[in-house]
Amino acid sequence: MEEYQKLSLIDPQRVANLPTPDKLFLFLSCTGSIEYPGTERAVRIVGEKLGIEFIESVDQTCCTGYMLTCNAVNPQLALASTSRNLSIPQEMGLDVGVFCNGCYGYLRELAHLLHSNPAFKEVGDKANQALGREKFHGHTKIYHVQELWFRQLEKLTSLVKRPLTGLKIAAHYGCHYLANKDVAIDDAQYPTFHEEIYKALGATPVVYKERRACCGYSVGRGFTHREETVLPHITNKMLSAATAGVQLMTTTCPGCNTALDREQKTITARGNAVSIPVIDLSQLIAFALGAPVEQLGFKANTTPVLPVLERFIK
Amino acid sequence: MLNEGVLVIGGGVAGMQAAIDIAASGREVVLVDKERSLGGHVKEYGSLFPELTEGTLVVKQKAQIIKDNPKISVMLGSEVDRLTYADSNIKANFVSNGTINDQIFSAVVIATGFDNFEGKKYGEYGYDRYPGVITGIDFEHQEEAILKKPIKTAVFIKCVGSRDRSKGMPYCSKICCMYTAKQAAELKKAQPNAQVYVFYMDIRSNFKNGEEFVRSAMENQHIKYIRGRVGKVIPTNGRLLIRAEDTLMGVPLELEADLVVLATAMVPRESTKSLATQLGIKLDSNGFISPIPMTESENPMILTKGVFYAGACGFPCDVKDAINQGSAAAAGVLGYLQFNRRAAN
Ligand SMILES: Cc1cc2nc3c(=O)[nH]c(=O)nc-3n(C[C@H](O)[C@H](O)[C@H](O)COP(=O)(O)OP(=O)(O)OC[C@H]3O[C@@H](n4cnc5c(N)ncnc54)[C@H](O)[C@@H]3O)c2cc1C
Ligand code: SF4
Repeated sequence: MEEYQKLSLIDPQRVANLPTPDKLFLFLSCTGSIEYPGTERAVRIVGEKLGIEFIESVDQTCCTGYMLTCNAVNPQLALASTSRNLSIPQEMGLDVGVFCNGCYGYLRELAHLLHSNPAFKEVGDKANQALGREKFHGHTKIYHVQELWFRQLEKLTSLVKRPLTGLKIAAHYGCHYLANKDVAIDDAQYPTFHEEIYKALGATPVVYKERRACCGYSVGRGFTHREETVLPHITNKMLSAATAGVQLMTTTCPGCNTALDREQKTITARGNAVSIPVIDLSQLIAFALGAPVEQLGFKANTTPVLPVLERFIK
Repeated sequence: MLNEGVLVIGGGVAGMQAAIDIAASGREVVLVDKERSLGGHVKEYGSLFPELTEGTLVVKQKAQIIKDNPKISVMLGSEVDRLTYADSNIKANFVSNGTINDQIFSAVVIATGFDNFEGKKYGEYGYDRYPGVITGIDFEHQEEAILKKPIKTAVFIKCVGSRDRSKGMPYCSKICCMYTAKQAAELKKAQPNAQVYVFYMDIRSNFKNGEEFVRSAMENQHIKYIRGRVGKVIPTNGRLLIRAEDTLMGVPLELEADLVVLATAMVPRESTKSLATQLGIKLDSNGFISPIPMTESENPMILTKGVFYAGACGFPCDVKDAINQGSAAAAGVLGYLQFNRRAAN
């Protein structure tokens, strides 16, 4: 058994407690839609193969997480938006699937605040009332699709059409999923469930030194920290992956993906040539399940993806 | 007839000393410990700071005195799980091998000692998960094996659990600066080529010869003391990558180690908490026994009529202090028994 497997602390009980829904509300990610539209498509494709239908709504707005991270909005505004956003799936009688760690973390946290503090709930209720919407009751459940995929790992394995034999893949889990330690299915310090997914797809998981280092996104792209602070950090992370022989990296958050993919151009320009394609875990799974490559939107990536995936396309 | 039997709960160094001093006056003492041998934590220690006396020798010497005094009956493998007042006496319930007995005593010394903070609560250090990460108490228990296994680099992390309000423990455990210096020096003595680092927030060595002891670890054994917290331990290629900050130099730091020792906090035992509560004895906000104010007590270890305490159940302390408290509690018990005698006559 490999070192990472011996250290695994995936919580089987939490995994077993996850549902295998046939319908979910798809909470769209602003960053996802703008930066990597292929991600959303991939989520739908994988969902379809697993028998999950995703319903969306044009009424849904941003989860407000990014604004909060950058202190750009008053928290009250975030509470009101969350209450409104979550009242939409509530009205449809659906639970929520997200494909962005940021949406996941903020929705969970804000929903918890709304639900546990009457004063906060009132902020949300007032907003919904003013908009003629139903009050948000706080019972809507929020899942990240990565855990729903892992829940049905066996089924996924049986559906693989393009086994990724020999492909060295490494994970970037992202802080905003793992930091939810009371609900995440894996341990924040040394998570391993993405590696299990790679193996199920026939690929070779690579554990690199900086796998738990932050992507630098929310602080990195000009909002709160200067380039001199963040670039060395991302450089360090990507070089550590390169040293470990990583050929492809996956994320579960369009924000992380943006930082790790787009910044490679700058890293290279500053003298550290690095080229590791970074895609969403759902894109990887959809690809392995045989989805047409054109639908996966790899053209949106800064670091070219196809050179490493081409050999699996018949 | 006047009941003059005394119960000492806990056969660590504090309880052993209390039993010895009470029995020296000819009173009957029952010394009870839930474990199979006397000595408490210290029976497992190689050496004791600062003189490096062997811990087992201290325990053996006291155990011999106890054995030689027929006034002390030792009950091992027996736990006191209930104390209740019975007139002016105290009734104790003993649980051993699933059977329960009770007995009445005129006075009780609570010397239940301390427990160890669970290293696992710091997920970032990987205790109980990453091979090579142990606690200070594990070091004492496995010292021989640890010193034998070749080590290139060892890292000691202090204040793990202690002084961390987020873990609910605002207090300093008082002795871990000393035992860390002791363990680091022992390691270096056994393996002079090993690189040994200690990460610290402060160095608190307020014991007689304490400062000199720690200095000697730094200057004579060349243990490298780095001021800063370790942020993370990351298992990498079979070794342990340490991510830390050197706050004196203002730089982040990385090194690979084979052994990481967490100086985990000394915490109150659950059994101390429940026994004290049963008798209406106050606990401090951390769950240690709370003494009554100095201005209101005739003996430093008295808690209430006939009930005394000694050792680490009151607060983290070193062996000497635990022994001193054991003697002080014995003095209190004897005074109390004498007073009862006079009152009965
Ligand atoms: C890693 C480490 C290294 C240390 N090194 C040193 C050193 O080098 N020098 C030094 O001076 N000090 C050292 N110490 C401190 C030392 O361990 C304490 O000072 C000492 O153990 C305190 O003794 P005690 O009798 O109060 O408690 P303990 O040693 O904890 O003994 C208490 C006893 O009570 C028993 N007990 C508890 N509850 C019950 C019950 N309900 N019924 C029956 N029995 C019960 C327990 O089984 C135990 O045997 C070290 C501590 C640690 C954690
Ligand atoms: S004695 Fe030293 S190591 Fe222990 S808690 Fe206090 S400062 Fe930290």
